[in-house]
Amino acid sequence: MRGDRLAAVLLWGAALLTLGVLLALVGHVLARGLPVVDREFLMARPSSMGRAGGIFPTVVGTVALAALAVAVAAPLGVGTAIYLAEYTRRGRLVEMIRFATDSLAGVPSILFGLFGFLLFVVRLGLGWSVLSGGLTLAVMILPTIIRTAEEAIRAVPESYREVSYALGGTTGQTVVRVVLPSALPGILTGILLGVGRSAGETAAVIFTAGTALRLPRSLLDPARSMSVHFFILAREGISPDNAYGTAAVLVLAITAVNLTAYWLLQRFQARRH
Amino acid sequence: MTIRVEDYSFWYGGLRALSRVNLTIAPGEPLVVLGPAGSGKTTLLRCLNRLSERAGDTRQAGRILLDGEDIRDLDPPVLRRRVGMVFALPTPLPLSVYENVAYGPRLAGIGRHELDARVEWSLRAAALWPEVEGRLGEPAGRLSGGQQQRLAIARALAVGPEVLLLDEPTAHLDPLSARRIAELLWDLSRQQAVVMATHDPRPATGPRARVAFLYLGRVVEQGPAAEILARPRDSLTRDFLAGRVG
Repeated sequence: MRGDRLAAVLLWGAALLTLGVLLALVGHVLARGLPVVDREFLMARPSSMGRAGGIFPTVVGTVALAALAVAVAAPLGVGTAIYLAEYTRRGRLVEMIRFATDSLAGVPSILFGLFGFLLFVVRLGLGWSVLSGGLTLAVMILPTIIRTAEEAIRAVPESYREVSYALGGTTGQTVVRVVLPSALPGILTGILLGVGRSAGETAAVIFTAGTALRLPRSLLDPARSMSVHFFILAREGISPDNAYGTAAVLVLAITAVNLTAYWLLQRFQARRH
Repeated sequence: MTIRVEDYSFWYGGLRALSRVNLTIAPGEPLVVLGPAGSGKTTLLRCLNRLSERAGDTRQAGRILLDGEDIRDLDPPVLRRRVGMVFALPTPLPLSVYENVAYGPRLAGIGRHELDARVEWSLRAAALWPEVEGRLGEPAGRLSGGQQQRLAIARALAVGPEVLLLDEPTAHLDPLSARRIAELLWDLSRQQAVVMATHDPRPATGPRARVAFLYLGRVVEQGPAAEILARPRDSLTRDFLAGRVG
C-alpha cells in the first residue's frame, strides 16, 4: 500500500513537472511577446532589419515552408507506412527500411540543412528558396510521419482486416475503407508533429531557404521563417521585444493548428462511432 | 454447391495443423466440425476460403474443390464472396449498423439503389431486423453481444455466399443468445451450405446435420450427427463426448 502511494505521488509529480515546464515556457513567451503583438505587427513588413515594423513576410514564409513540407512528406510518409505495414511481410528489407527511418529521425536538423543545401540549393540549382527549404523540411519530418503512421496502422485491430477480407475485400479496399479511417487519429498526430517541427525549425531552414526578409512571391524566392526571424533578432540583439512577439505568434499558431486538427478529429470520430 | 476436401493437409511453418482431411459439404446438410481447442477446426474453416494463407509462412497439400474447381485457381476475393465467414468474436466494424451490412455488397460493386433492399433482406434473414429497424444509423458497437453476432451473420449473408462458415459462433454469447443463433443457423442451412466449427456438441444436434470429429488436425470420424453423437465408433470421439479428452 505504501509502495502504491509512493508510486502514485511520484507519477503525479512527474506529470505535474512536465505540465509545469510547458506552462512556464509558454507563459514566459506569451507574457513577454503578447504586448507587442497587434494587427500591425502581424500584417506589416519589417523595417530596420526587424527592429521596427511587423513580421508579415516571415508569417508567409513559415506557412509556405511548413505547407510545402507537409504536402510532400505526408503522402510519401503515409504511403511508405501503408506499404511497410500492409504490403510487406516482416523481413530483412523491411527491418532495414525501419532502421534507416529510425536513424534518420535522430539526425540533428543542422545535418538535414547541410544535406538540403548541397542537394537542393547547389546541386539542383534551386538556390535559397521556399522550394529548397520545404523539400529539406519534408526529408526531415518524413521519418516521424512514417513511424507514427506505421504504428497507427499496425494498431488497427487485425479482426477488422479479417472481416474485410472475409467479405471479399482486396488489400487496397481493406486499407482504404477500414484501416486508414481507423488509423487516422494516429496518422494525423504524426502529420501534426511534422507541421510543428517544420514551423519551428531553424537550422535546416537557414541553410536552404535563406534569411531574406522580403515577401516570397514564388516557390523559388528565398524566405525567412518566424523561427529564423526570432533567432536572428535575439542573437543579434536587434529587438528582444520583437523576438518575443514573433515567438508568441509562432506558439499561438502551432496551438491553433493542433486545436483545429483535434476538433476535426473529434467530429470525424463522433460520426464513425 | 458442393465443397470436396480431398486428402488436404496444412502447415503453419513446420507445424502440421491439418492432416489428410477428407470431407464433403453439400447444401441441405449442415456440417458441424467438432473437436477440442487446438484440433484444427478454425484452420480447416479458414482453409475453405483461403484466409489461412494470410498467416504468412504456410504450406498445403491436397485439394479443396468448389463445384469441381480447385479453390487455388480462384481469386481470393471472388472465392470469399462465394464462401462467407462469421468469426467467433462478433466484430462490428467501427461503422453504423447499415454500413456494416452494406460493406460487402459495396465492395462487390452493388449499386446504391439495390443496397437498401439487400441490407433489409440480410437483417431479416439474420432475425435482427425488428430490433434494429429504427437504429440503422447507430454505431454497430452499441448493439448487445448477441445482436452483434447476428449482425455479423447478416453482414456475411449480404454478400450472397453459397457457403457460410461459422467459427464457434456462439462461444462468447449467453445461453439465450446462443440458442437463438443456433436456431437461426439451422433455418439458414435449409437454403445454403453451412459449416460450423464448435467444441460444444450441443449445437450439433440439429436436423439433417452431419458431424466431423477433428482431433490434432485429423478427422477421426464423420457421419450423421444423430449417429456420431449417440453411437461414436472411435474411442477418441467417445472420450471427447464424455468429457475425458479436451
